[in-house]
Amino acid sequence: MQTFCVGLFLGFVLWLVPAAARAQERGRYWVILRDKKGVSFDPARYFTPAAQARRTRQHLPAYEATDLPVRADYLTEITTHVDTVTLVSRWFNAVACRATAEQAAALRALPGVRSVQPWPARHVAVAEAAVVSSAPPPSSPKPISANDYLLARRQTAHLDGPALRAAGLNGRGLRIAVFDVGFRGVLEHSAFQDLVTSKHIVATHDFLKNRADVYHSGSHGTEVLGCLAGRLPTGPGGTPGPALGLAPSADYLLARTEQLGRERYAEEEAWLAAVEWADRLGADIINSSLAYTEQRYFPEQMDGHRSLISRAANLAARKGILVVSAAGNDGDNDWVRIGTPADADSVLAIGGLDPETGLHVDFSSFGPTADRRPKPNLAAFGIVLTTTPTSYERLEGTSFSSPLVAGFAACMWQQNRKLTAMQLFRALEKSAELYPYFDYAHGYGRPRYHHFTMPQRPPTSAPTFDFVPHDTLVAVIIRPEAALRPAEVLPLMADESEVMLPASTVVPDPKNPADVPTPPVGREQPVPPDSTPPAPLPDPHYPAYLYWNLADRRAVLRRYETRAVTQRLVVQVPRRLLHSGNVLRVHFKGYTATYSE
Amino acid sequence: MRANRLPSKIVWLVVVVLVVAGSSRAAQAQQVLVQANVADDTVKTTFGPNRRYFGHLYVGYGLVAGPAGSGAGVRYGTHSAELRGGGRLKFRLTQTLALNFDLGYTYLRYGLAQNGQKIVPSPDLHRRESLGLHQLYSELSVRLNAGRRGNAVGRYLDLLVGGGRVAATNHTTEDDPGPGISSVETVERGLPYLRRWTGGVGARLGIDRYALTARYRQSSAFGKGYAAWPELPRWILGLEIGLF
Repeated sequence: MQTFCVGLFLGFVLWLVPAAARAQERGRYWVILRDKKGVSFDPARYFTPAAQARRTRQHLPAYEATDLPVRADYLTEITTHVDTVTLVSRWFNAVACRATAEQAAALRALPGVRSVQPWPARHVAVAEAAVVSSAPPPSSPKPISANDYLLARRQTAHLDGPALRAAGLNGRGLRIAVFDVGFRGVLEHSAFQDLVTSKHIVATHDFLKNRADVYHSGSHGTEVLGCLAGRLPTGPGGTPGPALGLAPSADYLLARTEQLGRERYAEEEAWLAAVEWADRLGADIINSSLAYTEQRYFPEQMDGHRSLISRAANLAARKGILVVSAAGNDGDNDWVRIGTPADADSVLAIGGLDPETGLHVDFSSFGPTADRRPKPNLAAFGIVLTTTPTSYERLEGTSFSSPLVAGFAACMWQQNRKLTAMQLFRALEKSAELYPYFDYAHGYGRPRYHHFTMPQRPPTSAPTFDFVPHDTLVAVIIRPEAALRPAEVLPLMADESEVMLPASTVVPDPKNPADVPTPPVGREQPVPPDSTPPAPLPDPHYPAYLYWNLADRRAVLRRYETRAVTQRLVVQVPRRLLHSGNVLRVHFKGYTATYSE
Repeated sequence: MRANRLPSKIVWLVVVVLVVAGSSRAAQAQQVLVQANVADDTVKTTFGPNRRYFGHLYVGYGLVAGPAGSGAGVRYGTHSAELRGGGRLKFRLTQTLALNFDLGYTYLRYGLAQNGQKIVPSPDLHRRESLGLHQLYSELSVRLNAGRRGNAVGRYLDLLVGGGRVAATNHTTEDDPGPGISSVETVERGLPYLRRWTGGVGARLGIDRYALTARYRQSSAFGKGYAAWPELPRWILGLEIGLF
């Protein structure tokens, strides 16, 4: 026993010490090079036709300095001085390598090297893990409960899915890159049968193991892809099942950049390699359902400049790619804030909404960024039905809000290919339900299709409330005509998809999200089956809420609330809070107004 | 006229108060569904796993290890083990260096081997025999962190020194009494031969909330009057789990 204990302890030491000791001997370094003088570059050969077309459409130059390769002579010099080069980044004109401290010192003396920065240690990959073979798909997927089926319908309907389908908008012609943990089961799952057989998955790459196979290791990517292009089981007569996302006809680039069970800076390096790859292959949209937080950073570092991937994401936006990122699942823990790369200025950060209420779901991370920029930008359902490697599960996390909005963005770009990435970014924000109202929980709310059909939104809707100043308070009183609750008229049929629902697949015992902490983005797990039975989902038309916020003169919010409206006098704000240039902004039933003194 | 003005002012004030109170109650009746005070949410904190200060509770379990003096042999494994619970306050000096101050309680039990060489605490042999020590301890440790990290404890090596006060002791024996009775257990408390003040050094290797520990007792197990007694094993190897 004694020998066993000593052995166990020594084993742990040998496992642990590498970070401390070996890092001293052979650490990783980020080597930034001085210039790219004299390099030759043919964009027509480097970029795929899709990438060239994207640049042409957005009136971007065929290439820019960041696209040039690093100088071969610099790279050769570095290679001769270090043990291993792990990444060569054109965008940052930099090289990531493993080297001893002496080698790093020698690198600093090289003429082409501007700086050498210690880079967090990367472990040598443990012996190649056996590829997790995907379990053969069951003969028939697990039955989908009626509530889950309704949720699947509503997660797209909430983003005007039926109208998009009616307009023939399904992401066709768009190329969406998905960066995630792994895509186990995608090739076998019936939800992706069309996607696979019609060769809509145009390229794959595992940037952690440097190989093409991404259909292993983890299934988070499978779940995220389900919210873009997954389908429910086919109906009677082989009719396609209802779509779980809004871009079932887009082309996909699948990249594995994330490892399960570990949080390493090396994943950010993989993310950078993947974004350059996606750019070269012509990605229009990148969906990144990943958010790096406290294992690597402090909340005050979430300023869009600190992390490598936030800088890379901003660079991708400059090259005409719309980057959509999950805000994070830390709203109900100590971190609270959004993670990175959602903190990047040009990244469309997506928060989560509760399907039951249409309001912020508690785990969705809050804005603003550390430098007080408004985030998240938009929001969508944070509880969804999506694909798992062999079935369908109800999952929760902003990981799934992000692909829902990415699919919506693909449809809008399909409708108007002339938009640049940042024009689309702004248009998505302006289309949103709450715009111009904003808060750090909902962003501008969910994007809406009708804005894109009527881009000239009337400057203001009819006023629905008034500010009534008193001696010490400002009251917000809803106008009588806006306080009516119209009777609801039932449609002939709730949704076309209900026709397709195979009766045998509906079971009356559904699952509901449990009230348990939501794992970080990228680590979401199916909602446990022993959750309490759900209340029937409310009508998709949520009651009208009143949103109000108080912003300072720099437009940084100081307070914000969302209130249920049960009487016409909804809010009274002390006037002392409106001094120093503070502005009260209120939104109710599509009308936003401000009050200041 | 003056007499008439006062009541009207009072009435007016009462009306205003009632209206304000009523409207206030009405406003409060509105259900707040989402609420945030940004100033509270974004305040920079100095308390956290990798902030200036951090405190947490922990529990640990360790096994007695190392050689015992002749005549003080113990039964290794779970028969001789330590259970530990305490709190730790960490002061971060730099990203790689921190100081920890621990306070806690341990229960250490030595299961004594029953063999012919046994002399501690007596040569008498029993079916089972053990010495138990309830101890309050404090430790000071220097933490060396490795690797870049965010607001996380990360990987670390602690070099610790500490001491404790043995608050209670017991000597438990279990014997075969004879036919018809399964066993007889005898417990002696307040043992005079066990040392009351202890001290030692150790190390802790950890990743976030999990750590392996090794502690070496430098003080002898037995008091001054029993210096001739053979020494009990000095090492305890164990696992700690931080509760944070």
